[in-house]
Amino acid sequence: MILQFADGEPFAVGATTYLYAPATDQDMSDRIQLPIVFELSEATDVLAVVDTGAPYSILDPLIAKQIGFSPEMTLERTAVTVRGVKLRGSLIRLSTTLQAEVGENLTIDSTTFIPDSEEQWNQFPSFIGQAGFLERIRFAIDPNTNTFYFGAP
Amino acid sequence: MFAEQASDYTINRIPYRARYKVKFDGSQSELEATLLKFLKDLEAILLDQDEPIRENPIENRYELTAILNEDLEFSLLVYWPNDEQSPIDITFDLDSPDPVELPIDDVFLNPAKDVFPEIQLIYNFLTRPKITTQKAKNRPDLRKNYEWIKNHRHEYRGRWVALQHGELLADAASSRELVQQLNSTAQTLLTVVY
Repeated sequence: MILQFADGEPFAVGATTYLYAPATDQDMSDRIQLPIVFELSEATDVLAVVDTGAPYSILDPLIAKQIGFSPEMTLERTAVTVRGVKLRGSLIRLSTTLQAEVGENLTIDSTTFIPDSEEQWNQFPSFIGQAGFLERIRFAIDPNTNTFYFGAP
Repeated sequence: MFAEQASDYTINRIPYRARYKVKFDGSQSELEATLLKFLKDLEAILLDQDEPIRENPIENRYELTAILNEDLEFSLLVYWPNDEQSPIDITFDLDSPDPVELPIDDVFLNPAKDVFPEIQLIYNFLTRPKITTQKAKNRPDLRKNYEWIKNHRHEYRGRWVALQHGELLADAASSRELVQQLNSTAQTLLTVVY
């Protein structure tokens, strides 16, 4: 099931089924959602939307606090615009694991944005984005089986 | 695309940084003298020789910047609040433009412990981000959780749910209310349903 290059080297180390469904109240189409473990001092499973257009991975601020986020962990202060609303927050580095059903889990020190405001984030899911996460891995999808393949470059 | 970088921000290169903190039980002038002697002993190069310690009114803090080691090209920013409270909460940020394997204990931490014995590491991200793999456990619960979402998404539209092995543990109007209902979030899938 794991993909390979022509020389037999594995492209992916793991694969998992993804949920293909709307992820926000304004979504008119389905989105690829993966089970991700975000970990600081504690860990939790979150269903996160794959968004190659998002500047960073984004973790719900309440869940971030739940797993041990504190402001002193901040690498940079920055802002992202979500549906026209500018959200300020913190960039941190945290352990982020793609969970495999087949093969191996892949854990990355990802750079993730934590919005300051729980109220403004409220009904949005968490995201895995391009900078600091997807740019560091190989990935491919099979839409026939809703399978997400991933590997380390 | 759901989110984008705010127009008045740019994606800067994310720094490679280590952060240490310590509390200093003394006056502002004693702290300044202690820091300047510490940096002199380290042979650090102060960025501004004439006025090494400056007040940053935006951040409401005092700052001191130095190049800690010219060969390794990493800088040190020391800052503490200008609120006159005691003890003084000092932060040391070591930044590098590129990931490097620094002998950070030799270069910084051990000399710092001589002056600030209680200094504590908050994080060390001076190295390139790690990518590791580990054999996956059998996770039949993943598909069961997806099945639950597919089967109940219209019923629970806009609600936060906590799922375990395809069973609903709790649901709530917000992630805060959901987490408050759970004793632990370990091995539990948290998501909002649409």
